[in-house]
Amino acid sequence: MPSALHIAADLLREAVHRKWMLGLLLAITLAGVLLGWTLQMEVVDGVLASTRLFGLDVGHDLRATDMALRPVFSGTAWFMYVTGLLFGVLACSDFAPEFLAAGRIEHLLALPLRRAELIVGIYLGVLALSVASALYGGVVFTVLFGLKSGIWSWCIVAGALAGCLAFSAVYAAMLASAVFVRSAALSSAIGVALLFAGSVIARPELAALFNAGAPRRWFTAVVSFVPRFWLLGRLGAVAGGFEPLDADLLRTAAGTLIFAGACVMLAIWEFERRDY
Amino acid sequence: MVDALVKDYGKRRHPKRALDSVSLRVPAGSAFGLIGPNGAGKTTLLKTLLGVVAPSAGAVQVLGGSPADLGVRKRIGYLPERLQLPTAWTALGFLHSVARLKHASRADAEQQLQRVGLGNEGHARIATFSKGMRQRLGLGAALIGAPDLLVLDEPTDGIDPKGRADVRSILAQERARGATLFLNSHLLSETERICDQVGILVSGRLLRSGATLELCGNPSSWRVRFEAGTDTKQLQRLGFAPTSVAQVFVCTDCDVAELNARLAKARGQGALVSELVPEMRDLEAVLLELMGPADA
Repeated sequence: MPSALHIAADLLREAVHRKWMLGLLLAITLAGVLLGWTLQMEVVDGVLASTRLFGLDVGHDLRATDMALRPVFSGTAWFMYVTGLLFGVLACSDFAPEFLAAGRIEHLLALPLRRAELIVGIYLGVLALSVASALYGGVVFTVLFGLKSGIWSWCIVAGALAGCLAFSAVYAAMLASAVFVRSAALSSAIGVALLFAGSVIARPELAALFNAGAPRRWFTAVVSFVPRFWLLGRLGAVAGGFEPLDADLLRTAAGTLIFAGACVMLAIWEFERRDY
Repeated sequence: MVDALVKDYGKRRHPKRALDSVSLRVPAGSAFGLIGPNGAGKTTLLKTLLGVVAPSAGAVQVLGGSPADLGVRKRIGYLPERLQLPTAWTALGFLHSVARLKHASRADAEQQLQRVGLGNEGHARIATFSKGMRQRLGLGAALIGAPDLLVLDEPTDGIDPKGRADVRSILAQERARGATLFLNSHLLSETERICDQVGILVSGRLLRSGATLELCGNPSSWRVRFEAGTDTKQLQRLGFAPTSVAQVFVCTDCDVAELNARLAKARGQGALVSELVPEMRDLEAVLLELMGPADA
């Protein structure tokens, strides 16, 4: 569907002019520059002798570098995952409402373009934007830590890309809400609510808080539809070899993709039958 | 071609009927103007032609096919009433995007930009454009791909008089190329000047449609200018009523035969006719007459 790719390219072009996006790129770059300038690691024969940040010592123990940096890498991967998701929700909430705005949508729908292509194009454009931002941020921090410590681990990039996977579900829900109601605020609220549900509520252990029987069964049934974002955040640590890859994580990743696909299908279904 | 078209909006129990059994045929190559009061359903009819709005009942055929057919939509150029443009883009960037989606060339986009008088503004941000410039840009986008049908909703809205003349000239060129124009404009004088076919839509019903001359024609009133020195009392006795303009008289309620009989008598008495103009009704008069006093 080349028209969907044209729409995705148009969305990227629009994103380039957004202050939010420029701000994100600037923030990542500045954080990288600041860390590169202030972080000083002394690595001798694979052992981390000393680490200084802003001139202050951070721990004095002599430890194997890969072991010593494990919490740093997995923490940074988690940070990339969470901030990427939050930033994505806030920065991308008005793309769909703008494309679907009165005066623009009629023009687009009168062009030789299928309605589904328009929805898929918006979705792909936002995903491309999210992947590009994640890669940029992930690579900047990976290179930085690699140059400083001599340890090259792609777990930060993997953490950032795990954020994209989670965001694919969050944005699909935001897109579907924008098709029903053309509101950036509502779209953003849906994204934050889903993020909260998937990070805090969709935990099996919370079922114990409900009375046994119907309430617990209802809770379990409802949260089984919500992607477990808290679990996906582990992908970075798994990619770094710090944690094992288990079936639960794979099921969660597959479930997230299915949730995203279902939301996009819902958006297309509503969009196809709507008058503008 | 539109046949028994019905469009209902809103809930199933209490729908609001926007179009009520509208049937219409627009001959290929003609310039059709849709007129009517606010809320008559004009924009809904336009959107139905484009497949943007689905009819509740009836049939729509455009350029021999369904508006849902991408091949048909490729042959249509559309300018919405309140076109919202991506303000961060440049004018040329916007037209290139439309050209890509219409499978037209970039050169075509650049040519249309020149044509609508924005040739020097190609690299300017749309955010800096006035309303009239945005309207021109929208027209340029509609013209990309040499469409066989141009559907224009208020094309001269916000454009200055010089710009309106330019738009009329472009539309005349498009007609000469063989394109069909479907125009919706509140400016009835514009519709009269551009369109040879007119449809009058009131409260969702197509009350009248046909050639503009037929709708405004059948004059029974004539404006006659006589040379100076003509006996005015004599003319008044023959049924020519004086007007506020010297030497100009009006002959009302008389058909062509009656007019010629009166003019023959006047000339027999020495009067010299220097100008004779039928007093045609304009579209506004036709519209107001059809709407009736309550709607007007």
